[in-house]
Amino acid sequence: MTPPASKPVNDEALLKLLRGTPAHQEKGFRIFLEQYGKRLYWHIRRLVTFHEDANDVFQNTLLKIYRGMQQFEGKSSLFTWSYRIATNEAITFLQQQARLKSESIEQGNHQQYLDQLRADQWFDGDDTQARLLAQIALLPEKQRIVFNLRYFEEMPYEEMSILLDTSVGALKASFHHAVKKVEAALIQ
Amino acid sequence: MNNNSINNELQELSPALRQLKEKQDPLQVPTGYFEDWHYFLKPILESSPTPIRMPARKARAWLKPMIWSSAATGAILVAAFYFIRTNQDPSLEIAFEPLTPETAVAYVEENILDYEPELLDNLQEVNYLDVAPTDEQASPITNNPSLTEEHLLDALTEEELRAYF
Repeated sequence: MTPPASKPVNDEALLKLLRGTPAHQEKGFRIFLEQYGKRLYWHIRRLVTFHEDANDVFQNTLLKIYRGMQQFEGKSSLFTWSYRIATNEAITFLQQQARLKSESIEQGNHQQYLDQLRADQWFDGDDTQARLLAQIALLPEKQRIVFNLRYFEEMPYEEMSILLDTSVGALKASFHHAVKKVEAALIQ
Repeated sequence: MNNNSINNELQELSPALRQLKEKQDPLQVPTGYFEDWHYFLKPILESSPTPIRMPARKARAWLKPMIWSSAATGAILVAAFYFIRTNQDPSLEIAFEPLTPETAVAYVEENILDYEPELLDNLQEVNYLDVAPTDEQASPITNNPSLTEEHLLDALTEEELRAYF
């Protein structure tokens, strides 16, 4: 078991390790995981819902981050850059899933999604919470990301604006629309 | 502060969702999932080769003048070598064979499609030895009064002659 880092290591020091010898790279990536791994996983999990899927996407994300670290230009923070990779990986996964199933959740797969969620061993919620997650999955891609970041991760709009490269006003509007849609579906 | 911010926002937008948010997160992970990061590190380090370490820009910029100066020095040495070798080895000198009218006609007929046959006839009639050397050019060196032994010896100083003998 690795004890959590007591003090966050800044990007500069972390990148120095990650671009060093193989031993330094391993150490650097371990610190990176301790600092950001949990948040990245939960960001992915909120988007793909199921743990097995989230685990696969998380592994792919880490691999891409590790391999892309040499090309990281430092235009944004390491965390923002990693978050974008995680978001893209999760979205790509969802798109591939939709293609494999030849139908999206909007095309009548809603009940199947709910049943799958209730049967999932890593879901421990009541019926309202299951319906909430199913409704979030119905949201358009961008609204779903914004809703998750704000509702679950409680990310400030300013930080979200940098991450998604969208204005704060547009993000607020997107979140409000998403909340109203989810609420309306839950009340029904 | 952030928590208050989102809760206040939700309270205005949707009290139902605000209330739902207070419940325990229904999504779970296997026990110890986040405790052993080696579980994530191992497959990454094993499956992917160590990323190629690009030399730092500063180092590359520093090396550039050295690379160029080495290349230039090398080019100069190679050029000097060939220059010296060409001037010393008679076998490397370009040899010109005398061109006879027959050779010239044969070459033109074989390689040049568009020519006037009259020009070739004229070419054959040219006497390449028509231009005879002048008497001065044809005479031996010793006939030239300015190049006689006496004249040459007179031109030298006593010291030069002593040094020579």
